[in-house]
Amino acid sequence: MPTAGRVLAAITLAEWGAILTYFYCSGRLASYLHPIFRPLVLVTGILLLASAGCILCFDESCFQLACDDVGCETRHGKMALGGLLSFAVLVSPIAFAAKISPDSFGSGFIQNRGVRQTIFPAKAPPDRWASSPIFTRRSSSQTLTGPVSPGLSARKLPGSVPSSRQTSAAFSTPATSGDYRPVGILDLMRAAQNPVVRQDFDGKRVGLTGRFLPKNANHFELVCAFVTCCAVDAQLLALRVDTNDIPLLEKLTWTKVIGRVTFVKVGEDTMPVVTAETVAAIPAPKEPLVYGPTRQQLNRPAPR
Amino acid sequence: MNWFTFNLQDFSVAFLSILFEGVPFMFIGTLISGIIDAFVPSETMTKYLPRNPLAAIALSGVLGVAFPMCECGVVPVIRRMIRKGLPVSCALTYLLAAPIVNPIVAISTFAAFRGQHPALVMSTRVAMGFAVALLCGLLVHRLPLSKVLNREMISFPSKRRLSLGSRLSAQGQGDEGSLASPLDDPLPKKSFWKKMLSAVRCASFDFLDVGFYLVIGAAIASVFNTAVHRDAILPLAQNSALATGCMMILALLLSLCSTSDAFIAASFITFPFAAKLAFMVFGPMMDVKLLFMYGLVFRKRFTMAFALALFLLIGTLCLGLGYFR
Repeated sequence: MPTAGRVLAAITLAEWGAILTYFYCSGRLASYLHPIFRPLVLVTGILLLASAGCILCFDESCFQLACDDVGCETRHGKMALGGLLSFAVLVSPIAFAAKISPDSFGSGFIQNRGVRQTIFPAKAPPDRWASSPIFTRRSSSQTLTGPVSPGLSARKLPGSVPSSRQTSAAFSTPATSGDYRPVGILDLMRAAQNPVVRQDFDGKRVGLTGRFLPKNANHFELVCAFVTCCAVDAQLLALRVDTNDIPLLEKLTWTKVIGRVTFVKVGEDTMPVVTAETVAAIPAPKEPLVYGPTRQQLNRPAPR
Repeated sequence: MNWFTFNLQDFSVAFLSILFEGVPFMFIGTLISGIIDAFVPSETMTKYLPRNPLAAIALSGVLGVAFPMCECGVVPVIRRMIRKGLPVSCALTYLLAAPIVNPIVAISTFAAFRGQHPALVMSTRVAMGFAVALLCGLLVHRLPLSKVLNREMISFPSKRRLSLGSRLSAQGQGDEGSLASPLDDPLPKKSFWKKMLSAVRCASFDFLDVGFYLVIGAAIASVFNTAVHRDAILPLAQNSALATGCMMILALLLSLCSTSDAFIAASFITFPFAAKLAFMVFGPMMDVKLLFMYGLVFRKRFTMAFALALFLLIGTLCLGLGYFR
């Protein structure tokens, strides 16, 4: 007959295991974690479930060896108030959070964290793209100082990629789909930092998705969360979208915009602006977070 | 500007993402800790310690690589080791170094700082953790046991007298290097599967113990991450000394596991390198939960003085490193 302490421990382990496994299998984990960590979550979930089974099913005598340890008296505490408190702390918050979590941050988080309209300081050389995601903060009061395109400087910066063809491959921008090129917000922001790549995008018709953040009567922002490891380290990127007719969408609705890209100078930085042709609400994508490319991806040779 | 706006749903997203990221690493740590508990007799650690105290203390720090433990699991193990004859200076060095120099923490630090010079951050963290542990071990080596260990540890009956402890004493490195020799109680002979079951049980309970503090730490970190306006803490990040001190206090309060704290540190993008490093070196060595757990081994006065000394030492080292970087 298992003791109360063992039963509570098994319940706790089983609950954690079940939550981890459920989040992986349901796909909800995509809203929280970088893909490289996700298999670990599944494995841990399964092992926690197995551990719960072991704790519950095997007789106490099987565990005598561990309980000879000095640590047992403190670590494997008896069922006192402390044990119940631990049980409550371990079981309740994760279950509650799993129940109420909308799987995406709301406007309060965006306001507190702040959004970024450009990536990398203007003076940072492009070869730092692969290793150093340093973002520049930009306040909403800053004004655009004029278009850079089409007369932008095409001079090669130190460390820049040698050809536009290679650069396009590096950004993994797929071939055009229909009459527009599907791109990501991050792609355009990276492109803004490199004159050669800017030329590739400038004036082109693109389609991109993000969350709708209204600003004023003739422009809104498309917001996406750039993540290194997990949602808590998200850097919010906001792409300016100009439109004559601001759509009547709820704040932070997932939105698809098709329009033409231009690049404008903001102080020392260059940022992309999309002039919208069509704006439509879409369901949340399966992969709502944006991840940075690895060094290998950036260094990948262009396909012939 | 409203510097604090709490939203329960944002909190839940941040809370879950910290847990999902940290739990697998924590589980791996406790699993290894359980396996060591079940399969490695304590004599293994003491048998091979060199006679030279500096070498013994340094080796104890390096043992953290071979016998990885997170800071929560290491305290009970160290308590047992001290009772079995491991010199306190060696035990303390291992206690401080193991949560930082172990490979799991190194890998998780590397993973957390992807895109922020991960190799540099990881190697600096490991090197500084080891150096601080070594310094503390050497310092404690000069102190009498009565000033370091609590009454219960001092009065623990020894079955047999000193081997390693007396060897160290004979070389004049402090008259009270250890409590006793390794006891004559090797792990009971059990089948592999019974040992595995023991390891699983040990790992499971360790996981629950550590998980308790991780949940609390993740909750505090989530409030901080979602409710506090970033502009409110930017002034702290501008000043290296202030940022470093604040990050160490935060590490003390958050009580995060060393396998997952790098993920929190990495999220403080605006803070200087020195502050993040101090967070990751100080946190595994001293936090609120450890203050209580150290009470199982050390005197209260020693623990408090030790915490203050660690704060100053790590703060100074990190600021110095940040200055020259």
